[in-house]
Amino acid sequence: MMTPELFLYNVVKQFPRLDVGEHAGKQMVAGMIEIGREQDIVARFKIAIDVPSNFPLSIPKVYEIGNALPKTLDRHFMSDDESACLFVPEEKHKYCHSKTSPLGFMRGPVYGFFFAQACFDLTGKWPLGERSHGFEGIVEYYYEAFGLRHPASVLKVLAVLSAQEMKERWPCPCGRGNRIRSCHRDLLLKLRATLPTDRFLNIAAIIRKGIKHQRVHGSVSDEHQKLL
Amino acid sequence: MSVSLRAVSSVELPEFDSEVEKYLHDLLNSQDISNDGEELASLRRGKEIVERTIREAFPDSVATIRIGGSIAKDTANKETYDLDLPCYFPNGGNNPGNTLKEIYDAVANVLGARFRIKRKTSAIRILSNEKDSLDLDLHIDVVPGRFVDLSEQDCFLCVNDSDRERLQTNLDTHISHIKGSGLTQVIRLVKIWKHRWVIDIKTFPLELLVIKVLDPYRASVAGFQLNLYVFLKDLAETAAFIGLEDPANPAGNNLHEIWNEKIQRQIAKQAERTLESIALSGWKNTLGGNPEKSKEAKIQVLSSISSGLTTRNKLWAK
Repeated sequence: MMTPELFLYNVVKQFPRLDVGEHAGKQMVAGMIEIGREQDIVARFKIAIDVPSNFPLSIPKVYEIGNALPKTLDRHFMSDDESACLFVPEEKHKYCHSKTSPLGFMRGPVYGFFFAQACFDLTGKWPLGERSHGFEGIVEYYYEAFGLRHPASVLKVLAVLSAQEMKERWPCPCGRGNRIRSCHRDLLLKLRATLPTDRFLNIAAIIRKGIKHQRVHGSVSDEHQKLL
Repeated sequence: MSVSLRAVSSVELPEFDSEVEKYLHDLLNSQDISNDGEELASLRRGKEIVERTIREAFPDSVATIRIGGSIAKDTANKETYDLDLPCYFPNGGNNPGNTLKEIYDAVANVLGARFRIKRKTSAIRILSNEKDSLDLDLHIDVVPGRFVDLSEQDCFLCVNDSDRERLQTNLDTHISHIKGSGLTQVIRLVKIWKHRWVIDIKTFPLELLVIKVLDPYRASVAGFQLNLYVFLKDLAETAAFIGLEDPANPAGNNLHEIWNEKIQRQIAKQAERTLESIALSGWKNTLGGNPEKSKEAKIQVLSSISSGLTTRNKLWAK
């Protein structure tokens, strides 16, 4: 079972400005993350990390509590609780999987997030790239991961992901003509292992409604954005 | 009233290191807020807008609005500057309310209608220069209060979310206590430590702590390195025995909420960790370098570390 103390123990050597303290009524790992080299610190951010007891099965929530960053979608903070949006949930298998250590998590997506924020403050650009907000960002992920171009082709991927059982002899939903076993097998397995079936079904439902709405009105409605 | 139970300990001093002393001098210089600088200009602009807003809202009341806090005490640092704006209404006359709470709420409502604000224990933080703007923190705290009497020296402040409803204070007493200590530069260094090590203590008790700890060593300890070392060492060993008093109201203001056993334990531990870090890695690696780099230099640093990132996560938001 992961605790804030255990998480801190694993990261404090590389992140010596962190400690366990109370934030928003909960014990969290909190303190300063420094972006830069040893004596060339470019930016400092005061953060708090809500470590779930089943880390890394669940993703820790990371907050910027020093008021250095505006908590907006454009700066990649969630609109509901202002936590940092480190990556789309579909990428959990890359950045917070069963073998991710606390230090790996801190050095990886957490440091990457604040590195990107420091870069954006200086240059106005996101050095690691960014995804569109909300539902569009999710679809972008599927386009990128499977080399797709149209929401309808994402539906085929989602059908495989939400199937009760995936057969490797099926044609790969990416549409290149190979079977799953010699194409996107690993990625499909990781996605199926990391995310619940309901998620894929919900995304598929939104895409279907979106496609229908787009046929009629020429754009994706706000309602469909909110459904996510 | 808090009573000091601590005996003055004699601290074994490290050898004076002129390079460390230079580093600390340079660090302080890099944190100077100059009179011509953009930081002070921005704060002055903010003050003008806030002051105008309050005076227009309460034209029949003659509020005294002046600069307080670290700017007035000469303890401000560039990386953590704030502007405290005491806004004291007269005793009697046409005030925005009869009670301190009414005065606080009236000022907060007026400011809240114009700016994005956050209500604090006694202050009102101005978070943006327009209501719907998502600009960053303006670094201004407005502190509404009412003078105790016609002499307009002591003042009552409203205290929200506390057992007590008000506290009595005196801005000039605080300013002269800090400025008159001769330790303003050491206080600035300690504030840099507080910021970079995320020490969870309010600035006010920290300033009092510096003066309380270092006053007995005034004759024997000179220079930033030794003063800082003595401060950290004393804190690490005797924080639990250090009592603090509010110089503006030593008998009346209990500082227990901002200086208590929990805070004493935490700061002692952090002071100890800081001393360990100094012994292992040196002062510069412990307190951090001079942040005053050009934009191009900062971009260069970020470029140089970009290839070493362990992940390249694309940011999202819902």
